[in-house]
Amino acid sequence: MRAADPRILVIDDSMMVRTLVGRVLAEAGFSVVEAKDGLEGIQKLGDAKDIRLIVCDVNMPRMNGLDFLERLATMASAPSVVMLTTEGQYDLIRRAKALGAKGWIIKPIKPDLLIATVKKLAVQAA
Amino acid sequence: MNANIGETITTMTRCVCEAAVEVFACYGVIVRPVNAASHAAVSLEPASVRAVIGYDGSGVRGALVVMAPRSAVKCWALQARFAEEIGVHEIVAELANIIMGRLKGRLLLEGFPLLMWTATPSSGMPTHLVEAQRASALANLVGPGGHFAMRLDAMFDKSFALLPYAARHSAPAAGEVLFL
Repeated sequence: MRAADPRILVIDDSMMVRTLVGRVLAEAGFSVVEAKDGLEGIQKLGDAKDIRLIVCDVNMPRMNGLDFLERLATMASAPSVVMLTTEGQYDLIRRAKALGAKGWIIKPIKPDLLIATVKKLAVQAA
Repeated sequence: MNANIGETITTMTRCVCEAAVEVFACYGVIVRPVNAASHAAVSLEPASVRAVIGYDGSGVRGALVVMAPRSAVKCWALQARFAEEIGVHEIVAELANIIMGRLKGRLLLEGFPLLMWTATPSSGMPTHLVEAQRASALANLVGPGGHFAMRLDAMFDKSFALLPYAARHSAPAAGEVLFL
């Protein structure tokens, strides 16, 4: 029996980003779950218990990426998070690190780097 | 105002062009600047789409407008292999958002004190973008599907001044990964 593909949760308010990142990760052998903001991301985490890693935008409506990290910190056994954003301000990056984020990727993505990053962090989380 | 506005607009125009070329190239779409016109009125064919993103900085605020014919956006979508269900408005809005991010890093390095932007792009089908009653940096570009335009409008306060060199920091590169 073939082991299930590692499942990644992609959170971004842009459908274009979700589908692009989803396609890149699916072609690399991952199973992808999508959410359009932090609140929906929390809901999807409750629905799917086997999420290995979260790729999360910063600027989103209803619940942004940093607020999502704060909420995640209150949950037991939460998956690791790598931020995916246009933001490059180091004070934001420091804040995300303090909230537990494991990585920060600057948009637009480079597919090879995204895949390598997800593989590295998903293996660490396994 | 402690800055040469003419030089600032020239810098803005160059940064807009560089950010656009970089972002499009990341998606496999090659675009290039055509000319850096000083006038700021833009007219495109009636079937066009637009995204507007406002920004705010120390002593300056304004908006980035990206306008393109629908046919050009569809060509970009084909070359970049965007999923078919993603509409032209979504594509222009997201490209504008990402270009704004790259533009911000470039402008900060030039001392332009841009602090944040409002990522609330809108889209529509204008035929004419009127000349702004303030400073504008207009970038005319051409890519697959034809010409399109981006305009960075800015209103400078009397207190506006470029950041000192010591305060200018380069931003992470596009696609760069930082492990925290």
